[in-house]
Amino acid sequence: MNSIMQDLIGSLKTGLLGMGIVMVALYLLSLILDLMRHMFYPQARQVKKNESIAKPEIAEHDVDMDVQTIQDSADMQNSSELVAVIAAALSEYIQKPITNIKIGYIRRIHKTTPEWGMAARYENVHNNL
Amino acid sequence: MLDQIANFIKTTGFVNITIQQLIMIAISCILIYLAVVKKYEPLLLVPISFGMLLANIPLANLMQKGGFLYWIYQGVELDIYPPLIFLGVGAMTDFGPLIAYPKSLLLGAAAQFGVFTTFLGATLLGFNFKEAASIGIIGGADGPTAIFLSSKLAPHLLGAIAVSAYSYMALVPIIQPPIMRLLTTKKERMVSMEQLRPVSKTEKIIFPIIVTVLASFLVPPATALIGCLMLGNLFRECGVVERLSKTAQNELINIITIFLGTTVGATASAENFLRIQTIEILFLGLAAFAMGTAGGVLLGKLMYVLSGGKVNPLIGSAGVSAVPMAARVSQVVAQEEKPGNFILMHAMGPNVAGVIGTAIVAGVLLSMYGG
Repeated sequence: MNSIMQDLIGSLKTGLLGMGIVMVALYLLSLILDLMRHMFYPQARQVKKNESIAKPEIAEHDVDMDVQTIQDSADMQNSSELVAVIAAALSEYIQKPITNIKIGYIRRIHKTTPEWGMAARYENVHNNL
Repeated sequence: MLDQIANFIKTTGFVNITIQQLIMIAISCILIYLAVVKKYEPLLLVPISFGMLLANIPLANLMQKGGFLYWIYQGVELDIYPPLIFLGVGAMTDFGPLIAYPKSLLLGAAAQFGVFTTFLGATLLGFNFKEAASIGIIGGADGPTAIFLSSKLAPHLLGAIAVSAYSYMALVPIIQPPIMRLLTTKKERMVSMEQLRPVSKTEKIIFPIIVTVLASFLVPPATALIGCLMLGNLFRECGVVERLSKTAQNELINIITIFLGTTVGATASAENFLRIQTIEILFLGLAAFAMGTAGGVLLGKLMYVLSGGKVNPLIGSAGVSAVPMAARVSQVVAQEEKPGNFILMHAMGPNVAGVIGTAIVAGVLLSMYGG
């Protein structure tokens, strides 16, 4: 009985100490990563600042900035990831399960596309393709 | 002539095989079946189960000093293979989702709850602290770390622990979903999370250096694992050593996997494996996975409350390593509730955090019981 109690107390001590160390270590790491975000991702601060200054006018600017950031990101070079992201966004936008959407092809829409062309595309999306 | 034939027959395995060895050969055949037909972690279970088969061939003595597998096994005994596997894992892992959402590190820590509850359970079942620590680490769902720790603390249990760890890793899609559904409400499971921010290359290069310094300073015995994991990741992210990165991701990790799997399987000789302890380890391993999943989901629920409903608690279950299977399970369960809900990248954060967390836990347990 005594040895069981000793084992129990020993195990609980190990558990508390172990979980404590892991929690503290990973929490410290998360703080460092937060700090890194402020140092190396100034866009976040910029976007927040812009949002607080002029919300209605800034919407389009934000999109441009995000697009630029995405282009810069090495992750987005992976076309299969890009397709997954676009499919997910589309599914969320038209509120339709992704299994019910068929994507034939995806191509970048250039600025040269006239407004009426863009409007047609938006209308297509609204009509669930 | 007849004497010669009789002598030859005496040296064959057919005459010298024991019932226990026959049972072990049957078990190895079942594991090969599970790996090949059911696709349960085949990359590891095929070499492990075949190593088990080789170790139980009568009179072959492959694992005795001078035997073929004995020398290869030195890489396990001297703790060379697990860190090298981690080098390859690091080269294959994108820590971007973790860097973009640092709070997911806490979910990776919470999932280590399974390690310590199983440690407690194993102690109460009569295992000593070293054995209990080796069994508990199964809950980290990280094969190389489990092998790394048990080869130091309880080498006689290595075969059972490796088989248990890799089998349950393959069964993650079956073990986790019921626990996830039990601990969360429909409303919580339907939460859509905000898109993660892009992560700059500078952050990705600095990350492995910071993790290595922080974790190794805090828990020096974990340096080999964490250091190799992060070295592999630095190869991947720095962009100037593509050849090294490719080698770590492909040839190196494949070669080490063959050596590690075969020799770890070969430790499961009949006298080591056919014991009541093995069955206890299998049950404790299952409990470890379940408790780890529960720990992650419960912290996820807490984050859901504290964030005002912005965090989907399902990503917490991915805190048990098992990369990327556990993250996929989070995604599948989330999509069952709300098709079109994509939390895969959010779940990858806790998933890779779990790898770091398990390595730190192994370091802590080594600090406490490795002496």
